[in-house]
Amino acid sequence: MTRPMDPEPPMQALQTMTDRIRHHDAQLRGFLERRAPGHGEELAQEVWLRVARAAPDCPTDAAFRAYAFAVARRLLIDHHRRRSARVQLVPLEGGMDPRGHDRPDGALAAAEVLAVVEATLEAMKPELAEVFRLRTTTELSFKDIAARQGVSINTALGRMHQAVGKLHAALAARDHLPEAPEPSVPTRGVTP
Amino acid sequence: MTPPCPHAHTTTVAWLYGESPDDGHDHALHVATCADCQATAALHADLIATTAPVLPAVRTTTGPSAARVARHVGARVLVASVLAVAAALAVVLGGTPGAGSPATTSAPVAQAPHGAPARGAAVDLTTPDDLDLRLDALQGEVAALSLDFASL
Repeated sequence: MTRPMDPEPPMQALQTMTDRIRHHDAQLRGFLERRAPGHGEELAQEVWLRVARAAPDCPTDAAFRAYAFAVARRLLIDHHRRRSARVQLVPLEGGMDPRGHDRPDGALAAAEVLAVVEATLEAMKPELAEVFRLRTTTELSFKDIAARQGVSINTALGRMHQAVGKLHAALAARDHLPEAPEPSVPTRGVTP
Repeated sequence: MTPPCPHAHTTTVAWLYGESPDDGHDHALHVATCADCQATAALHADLIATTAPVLPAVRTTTGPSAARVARHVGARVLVASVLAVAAALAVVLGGTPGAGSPATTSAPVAQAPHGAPARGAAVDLTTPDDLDLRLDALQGEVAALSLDFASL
């Protein structure tokens, strides 16, 4: 279902949004570029496009920033999942980093990440690993996976979250990821 | 202490993977104001960003890896080969075909003492327990050696 376009915001609101986008643009591009090397620019444009279309009512600059980064994280996942769906070579024994990094140890890092991911998936409960595997390597939705496992969709979603948490912790323990972010103080002031 | 957000492990996960109605606009507003959901978003986005290059290589199904299956099949083939050689040797050295073949019903068996197996038929090919144990041990050593090579 498509959301009807909001009426043209008044000039004041438009100017405020433009100022805020300018204010956060560099930080958002840097955030995206670190997580999707070579794609920070296009992803940032997509984020700002979505933010402009949604025109969220954010009374404070912090609220606007939180909204933009929430949209950015969602886009990042979509971007990486779509790229992963294409055929890629993962050079485990030398060769170029598939992400095109200028890191000479890119292939080694990829091999290590893959080893940690597979080992962690093997060690966790099979039903958790299965949700992660199916959602990230196939086109099955959480609804499909829940039906396949004979559980509710919330159970499937919870299993995905648990699997991601375990994988994150395993990769963080080997310095492939920073420690999991702690829940911060909620940003007040965003109203639908 | 406030209870964790009920959406953090459910609705927000669905939203992050593009499975929420109306393009997730309303839920984006919730995530922007919820610390738990922001943490969930950060956790998933960082993990997917880090693992994306190797996701095509991650196996789709849970279960024994291809290498493990190959080793298992290889061990079976090895056991079968050894048993076949043992059977052939038994036939050649004993000069008598194995039990169960049509030829065993003739003279050599009849010449054996009552209750005692004929020469050559004493090899029990149906329960090679000792052989299996030794092959298992050998397979373990080969697997350990493979790991050593892999770590070099």
